[in-house]
Amino acid sequence: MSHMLRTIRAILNRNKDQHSIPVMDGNMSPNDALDRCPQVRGFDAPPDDMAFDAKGDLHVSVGACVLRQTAGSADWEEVATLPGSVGGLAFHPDGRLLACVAGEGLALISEGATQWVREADGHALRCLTSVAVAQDGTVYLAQGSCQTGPDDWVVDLMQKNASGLLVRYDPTADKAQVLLRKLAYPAGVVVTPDDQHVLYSEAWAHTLTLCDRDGGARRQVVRNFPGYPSRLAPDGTGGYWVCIFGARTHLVELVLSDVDFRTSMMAEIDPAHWIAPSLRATGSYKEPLQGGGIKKLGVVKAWAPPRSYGLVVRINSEGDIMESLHSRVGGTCHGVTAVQPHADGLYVLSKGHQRLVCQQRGDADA
Amino acid sequence: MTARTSASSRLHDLRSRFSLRIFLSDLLSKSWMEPAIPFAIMVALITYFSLTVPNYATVYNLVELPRQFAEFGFVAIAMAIVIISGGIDLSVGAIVGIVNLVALLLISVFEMPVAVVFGASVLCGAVLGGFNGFLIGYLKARPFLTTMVTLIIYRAIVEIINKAYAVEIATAWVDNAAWEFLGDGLILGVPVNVLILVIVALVGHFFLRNSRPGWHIMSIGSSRKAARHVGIKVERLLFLTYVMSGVLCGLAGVLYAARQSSPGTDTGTGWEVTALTAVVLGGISLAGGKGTIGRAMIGAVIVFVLVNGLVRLGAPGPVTSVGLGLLLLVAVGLDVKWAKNRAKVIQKIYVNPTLVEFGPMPEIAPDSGTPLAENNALSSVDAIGLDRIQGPEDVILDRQGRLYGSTREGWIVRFSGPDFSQRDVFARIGGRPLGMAFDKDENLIVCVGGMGLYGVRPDGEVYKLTDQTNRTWYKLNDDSRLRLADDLDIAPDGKIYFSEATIRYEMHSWHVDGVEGRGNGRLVQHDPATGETRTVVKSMVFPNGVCLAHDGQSVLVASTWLCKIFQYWIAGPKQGQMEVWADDFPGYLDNINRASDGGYWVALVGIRYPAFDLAMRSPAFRYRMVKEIPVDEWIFPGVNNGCVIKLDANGKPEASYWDPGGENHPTITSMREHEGYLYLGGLENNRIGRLKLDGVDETWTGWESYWGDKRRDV
Repeated sequence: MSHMLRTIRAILNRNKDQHSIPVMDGNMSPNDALDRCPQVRGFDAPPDDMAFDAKGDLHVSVGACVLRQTAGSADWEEVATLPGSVGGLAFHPDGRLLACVAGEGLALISEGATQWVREADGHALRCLTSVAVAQDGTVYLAQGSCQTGPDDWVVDLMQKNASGLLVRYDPTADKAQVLLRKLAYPAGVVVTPDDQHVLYSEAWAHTLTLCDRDGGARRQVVRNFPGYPSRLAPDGTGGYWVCIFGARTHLVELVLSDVDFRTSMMAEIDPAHWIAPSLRATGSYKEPLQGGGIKKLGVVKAWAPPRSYGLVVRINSEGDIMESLHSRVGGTCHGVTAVQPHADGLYVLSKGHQRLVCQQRGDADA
Repeated sequence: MTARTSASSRLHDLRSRFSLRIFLSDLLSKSWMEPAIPFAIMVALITYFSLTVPNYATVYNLVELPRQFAEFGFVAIAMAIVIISGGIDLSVGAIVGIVNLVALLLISVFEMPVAVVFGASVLCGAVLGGFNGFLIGYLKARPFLTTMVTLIIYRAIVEIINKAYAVEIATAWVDNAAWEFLGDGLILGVPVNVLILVIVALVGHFFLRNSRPGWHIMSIGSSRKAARHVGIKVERLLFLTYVMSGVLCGLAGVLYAARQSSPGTDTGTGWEVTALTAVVLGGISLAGGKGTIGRAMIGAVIVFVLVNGLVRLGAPGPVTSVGLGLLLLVAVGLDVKWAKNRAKVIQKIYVNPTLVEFGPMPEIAPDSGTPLAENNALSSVDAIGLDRIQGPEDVILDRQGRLYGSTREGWIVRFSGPDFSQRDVFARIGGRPLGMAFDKDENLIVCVGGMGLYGVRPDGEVYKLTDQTNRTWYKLNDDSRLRLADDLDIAPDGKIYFSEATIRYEMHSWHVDGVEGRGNGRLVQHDPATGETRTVVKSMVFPNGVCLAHDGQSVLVASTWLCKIFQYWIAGPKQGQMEVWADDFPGYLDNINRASDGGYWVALVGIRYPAFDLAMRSPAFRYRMVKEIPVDEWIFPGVNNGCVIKLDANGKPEASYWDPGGENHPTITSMREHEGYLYLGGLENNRIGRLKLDGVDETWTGWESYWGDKRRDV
């Protein structure tokens, strides 16, 4: 029945945006730039986000901890342990570390004291994905979903939820306010370099959207990524680095459009073995195999339909794609959830392969 | 409740066997389906006019209508031959006009005998057509322009002759019984001209379809360049098609003259358009290369009956013409659309997924302690011929201990020497060699995908055993050719039992059969003594490995997509019956072979996984998938992992050998035990594996167990 309706709709409205997966070509042409980056360190648990503080020390959230590498040294130390797994990180101008904690909310951590933001306009902030701070100290938070936690993002995708929030928090008044609702898993938020706007990504809608500081005047900057965009970082020249933590495939899109199959799959199968994107394909026999992924003469082709993929994209302020770094099927830098430009180069955090790598950049745009 | 369940399961069973879509796609791919629509229109029109026009279906009318039709019939045949050869002849009507006048002139003014008039008229048509043919065939002029020009010239000639002789013809009195017989006579109640038409049409039909020049004309119409490249004399044949067209028009002209005796200049005017309409309506493609005389006749009858019927219903002439024009438009439009999209329609409805329900997945977790528990027994396998062999689907060893693999190049590659380092191409068969077995005389019998069942003598000479089996009477598609012979084994009496995995897919798309999940395969028996081949079990779901049981009483057949092994009895009280021998395997079964202890080895080409099991239970989802997304994106059976399972004599798993992640041996399709070692082959692999087995009979070989002193059936 739904099939017939779809066919009728396709016939009646031929020019409608099909939102089909764009082809990766031009500046999006696949390469192995991420696989060639030297590793800074590996982790025992999946790392999630990273941030540099005012002194240039690198902080990485891993599991329920935040680790720090002091600038210029090779040693890592644990700076905080929190009651849930830690996601997005940022530094407030007053020096406090802001950490999104799954199931809890936002922790504002200073030496010896932790302040919490746990709800906004009646919504419990259990699925914070990303945090950004404006120059005046106003904090912007992205809540991926009001129905699932950040570790259950696959469930949120397959339920086709769009219950994410964009939240503004004023630390001086200790007041949190919901700016935007019904977002399709906003997984990244950043304040524009001119401090006038907020840019956020919606992973399940494959878009980047720019809005005013109060949530008004929304405008789509990128309409259709070939993957699921998450965290963002300014590239220092007016554009942004965008992490794409998974690539879309025709099969997943088909499953998303097929209610019966999707419902049965969610009811009967362990989420780890769903037909769904993943941060890292394990190669287990229980994972779905697609036609192009069959091993021929001992080799799986790099262009096989990816279950997990590594992709970082640089866009300009207009949303045009300027550059892309890939890790294709069989690569070792999948599921990128954080990227930070730094004087040493571009730091890229692969949650899938639990690695921090750094791309040395010859030009001055880092 | 149980009744309902069994009824619904029977319904499922029926639905998995029969599919309207498959019937339709088979039907559409038959060439005799093409004129089905014109034929139906013809029957409908005749029925309609019989019911509405008074006195239509009378004996008088049944004689008179065909008499009027006959001359037009010749012209339609003429047009059809030219169009099938890739050209067009617009001058047909004008030739009829000239010949009509010439015939009348000869008979009435010059008073020649009828035989001479007849011959001269036909010759006149041949010369006029030959002029076209010379211009088009040898001078390579464009058919459309050329025949349009000759149309004008020939019409002018008609005018000239008419002016000069009309009065003489009209006033002359022809008193010639033979001439009148030609026009009005009946032979056995059939008008003479109709009889000639029927004979000419039949001869023309079989000339085009079944004779060498006919085939050449068809091939010129399909592709002139290709026809020239294979050495067909294109110029001469094109010349001849126009001569034939001229001869047919000459026949039409002389018969018309005999019937009507009318010297009017409008004879044959506009016939070219009517004939064109008829030919296209009959389903002959304007692009050339497609069509038969039979179809041209169907089209001609439609046009004639329609025009005649409309006239008799009292429709004014211009209305009839407009109707005919519209009909031509619709026919041309349909012709273009149909020719373009028929293959696409067939392709779209070809893959027809059906419901496949599996039992629960057996426990294979590494710590489960079952015989099927995952381990990494295959991670330390020796590699033979690494990167020197491509996709050995099956491996086998001969009495001298030499190792053979059937590869994707269509070869049998042999490794010999103490460490198998000597590589030879033993035989080049072609196709895709798959399962192998040695017969009593040490000939290597091979199932070759795309070809059939072949043998290789010890000196490397290849010979064919069979490439077909008996046809299924109720199937539209001829299924007698072997499409994907997969694995075989040989009974003590020398009969060869082999599986044909699927009759709907080729070797390169064997996985697609898995996505479909239908009973497309069969078990076939070939007796080399008599040369007879017959299908013994039909509608099996991808029958793959075939192994003769140790006692020689039954054949074990593995069904890949059902994860089951069937037992087909070839002797004893249950002879001819089939039953499930072993069930509930964790993956898709490939070859089965004998083990030294009286048990069997079975290869798992892939492992079941939850998402694909669910997809197999959801045919609607798979149907959408095959229609909407490219093959490389389809969900496929998990063939990147595999294992080998050791079964006891009763089909119970005893042990398993795994290669987690398929590092060395993904897609395991075969294994052979030989003198204490197990050799592994894989459809997509770049090596043959060798594993030392502990505690087995190290003198046991496959050949000895079938034909030597290790037999258990005697």
